[in-house]
Amino acid sequence: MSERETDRLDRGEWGLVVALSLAGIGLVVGSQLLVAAATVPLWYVVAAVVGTQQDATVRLRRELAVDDGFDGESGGFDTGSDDGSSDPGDTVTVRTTVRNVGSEPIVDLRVVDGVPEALSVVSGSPRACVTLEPGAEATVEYAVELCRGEHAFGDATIRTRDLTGTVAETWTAGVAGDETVRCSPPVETVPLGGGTNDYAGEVPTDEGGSGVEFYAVREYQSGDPVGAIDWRRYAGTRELATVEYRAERATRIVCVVDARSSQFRAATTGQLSAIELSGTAAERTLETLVAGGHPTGVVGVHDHQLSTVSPGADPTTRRRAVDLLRATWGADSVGTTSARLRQGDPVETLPRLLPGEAQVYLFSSFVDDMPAELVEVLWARGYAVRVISPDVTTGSDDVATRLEALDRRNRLARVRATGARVVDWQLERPLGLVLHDAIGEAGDR
Amino acid sequence: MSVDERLPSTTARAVVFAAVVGTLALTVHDPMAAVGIVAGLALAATMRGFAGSLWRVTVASAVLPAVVLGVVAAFGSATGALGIALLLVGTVVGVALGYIDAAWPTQSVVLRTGTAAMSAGIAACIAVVLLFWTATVGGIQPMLEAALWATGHGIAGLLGWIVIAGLLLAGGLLVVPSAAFTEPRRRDGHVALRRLLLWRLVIGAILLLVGLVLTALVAAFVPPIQSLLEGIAGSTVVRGLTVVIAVSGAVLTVLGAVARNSWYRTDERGNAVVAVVVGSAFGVGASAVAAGIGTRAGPIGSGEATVLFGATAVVLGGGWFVLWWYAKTMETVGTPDPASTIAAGLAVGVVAIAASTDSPATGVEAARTAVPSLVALAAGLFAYDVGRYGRVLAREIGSAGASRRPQLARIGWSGIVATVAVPIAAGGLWLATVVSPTLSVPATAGVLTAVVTIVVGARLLLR
Repeated sequence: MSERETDRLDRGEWGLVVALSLAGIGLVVGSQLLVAAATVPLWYVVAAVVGTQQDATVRLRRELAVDDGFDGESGGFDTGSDDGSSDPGDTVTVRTTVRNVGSEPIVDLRVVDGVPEALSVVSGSPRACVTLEPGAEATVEYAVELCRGEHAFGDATIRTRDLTGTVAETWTAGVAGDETVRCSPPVETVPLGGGTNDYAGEVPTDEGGSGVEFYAVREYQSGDPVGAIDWRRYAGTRELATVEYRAERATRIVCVVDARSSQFRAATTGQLSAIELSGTAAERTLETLVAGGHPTGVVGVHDHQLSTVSPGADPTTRRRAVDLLRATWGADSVGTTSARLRQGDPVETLPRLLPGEAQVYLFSSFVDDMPAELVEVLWARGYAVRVISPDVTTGSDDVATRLEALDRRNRLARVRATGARVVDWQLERPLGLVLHDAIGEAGDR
Repeated sequence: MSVDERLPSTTARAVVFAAVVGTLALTVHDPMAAVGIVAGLALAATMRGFAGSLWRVTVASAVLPAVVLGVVAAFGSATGALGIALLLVGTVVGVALGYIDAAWPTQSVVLRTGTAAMSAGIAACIAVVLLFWTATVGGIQPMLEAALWATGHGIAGLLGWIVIAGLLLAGGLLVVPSAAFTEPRRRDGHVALRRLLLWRLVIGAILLLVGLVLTALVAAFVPPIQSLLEGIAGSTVVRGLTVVIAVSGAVLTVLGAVARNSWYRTDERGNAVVAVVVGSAFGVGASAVAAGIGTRAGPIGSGEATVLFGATAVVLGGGWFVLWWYAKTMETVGTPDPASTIAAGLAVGVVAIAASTDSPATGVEAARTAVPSLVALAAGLFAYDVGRYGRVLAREIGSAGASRRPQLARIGWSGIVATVAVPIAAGGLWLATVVSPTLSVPATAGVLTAVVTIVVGARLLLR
């Protein structure tokens, strides 16, 4: 527990100012009423003066419970959850109970729980203001979404105010109970990189297994299926060898649509803006990928906010993703869709939201630096990134637009240098051909 | 992440209660305060509409000129300086009340409201011209007839309208951006369709003109054709059709030009200029029609209606300038706090009442007449004190985490202070007027200074 800090929040200066102003105006205009009225604010000055310090003592306890599933409901509290492991995207329900262990009631008790910086609160609030009688307790309940790593909850910040609200006492208090939650998937399930997961699917990979395309011949090992033995070689050399085929895996794809205010400019007044072009292209990409059985999600990148729909190939996910895409460039607010909203800087927040093995399709006009920075960050973290960039800098010959076009080409070159695949969408080119270039080999590594 | 500026609901209700009590107290002196509250609430509700979807923006744009018209009419009907002052105070308090449970409008919403005000102002100017024209020619029917035959009688006049209508319609087709109708994938098809329509329009107009000219030449030699031609040229239906096409083309051209210019310069999501222009034009048009009906029915004269629309146009234009200036400076100036605005409004109302009324009464009568003003002032101070508490609570905890009980305790304390202050101030006034009916201001100032000294001394001692 830290030392208590006492502040007098209100010394009644505003009441004095009002009283003197009213009295002054009353003197000038000769109004008895205003002079008498000048005494009214003085009572607020007196109220501020009589405020006294409270002697409050509280005790706090925290319980954590991990809920499985991306959109799962709370599954009850489990104090042993901190020594288990959880996956990114799981939510942890936190219940912090504060009890008044002093002998006096606390009129205004404010509690702010010490949420780890890396975790975002997805429901409820880690803050509360309550009144507590002696022996009474109140509970602050909220849920945080996990990301990879070990996260320790900190001490809670406590602030009390007296009845007059003029004297506040602030300190940090230790919280008993659970304080750490770990999010570290077991080693054998960690993907080795690339854009696929461990589920069978249609995407050819660089590893042997069951499939249809020849991959390699290796030395026979006990337990290999008889049907996989290379009998021709055996006939010629009398050595047993096993034929391997290229394994085919599923992939998760996330369409990231840049919907920041910079994307609302168009090539010319007669053409559509970048966000409308990107949104339309992303919608068609989504339809194509979902039709191909690839679990696909959508992330809308706004100025200080991200809206997300998790990857999936089911009709509900597809509908939610389409709703979100249309909301990003339509008149509706993304807040009206079923997408999840996250506040924060897109470059910092997006990598924390993406599934570890996802391929990323980024739709942006690249008229500023943010998308290029985003690609570099994603590529550095091992995500395969493809860029579809509508060119909204053609159609006008003025110097400013030509300079902007030059900047945009430099940004795309910078992105290509990272290794990302870039499709520069010239608007006279049909969208179908552009998307064929971008997703024709959908899922290829 | 933006800070939650909304007052917690319990505190917000307390501030609303104080504002209502304070306004009712002001209404005792002049009912214009209540009228102002209603006008302010209507203005706030309209402004909140500009933060919604395009449909809500359209409705808000249509309602805005009608609301401003009502406010202007209310100011026009106010009598005396006190009435106007209390109407103004009530309007400000009403606007603040309308935002007590919501965040203050963002810069883009303020700019959007300003655009709507400017658009409605221009439409109101046009309405003034039309109303003036109607009054000059003696009614709507003579005005329409004058418009129909403005290009002259006979075949030349008809040709004139056909040329004007064709040009305006072609302008409208050219100016409206493709993005208003189609998606990127269908843009080429739309451009081709527009080109086709333009060519057909041009060819059709040329054929019509040539046909009419040839018919006129032939008619000089064939009397039956001459009478047929005169019938067509003199037909009100034909003229009306060409004028309707011309007006539609003009509207389309103006709307397209505004949309094209605005879309090109936009840096916000959901550009709402079309919704704003259409809504405000509809709102002013509906108001003008209502005014026209009113002048025919008799409640208001045509001159009064013209003056009313003229004043509304000026207010809307001034409103656009103020909103534009405010949007540019709001990042540095900051946004006003609704509770503080209510408190300031009520205090200004009390000062206006005190400055404009003589107080020859003494004793109980003096206290009785002073009570409404003291109540209004106490309500304002209560609103400020509680609003300040709620604002800090929202900033520290947020509306979601603030339970009712601590708020009620704080509201109760502030209410007790305000409740105690009023009877004591009234009693002090009564005592002062009884002891010295001609209460001298210097003596009162001396008493006040003594009280302030006592309070400051007590505070120093307690520290």
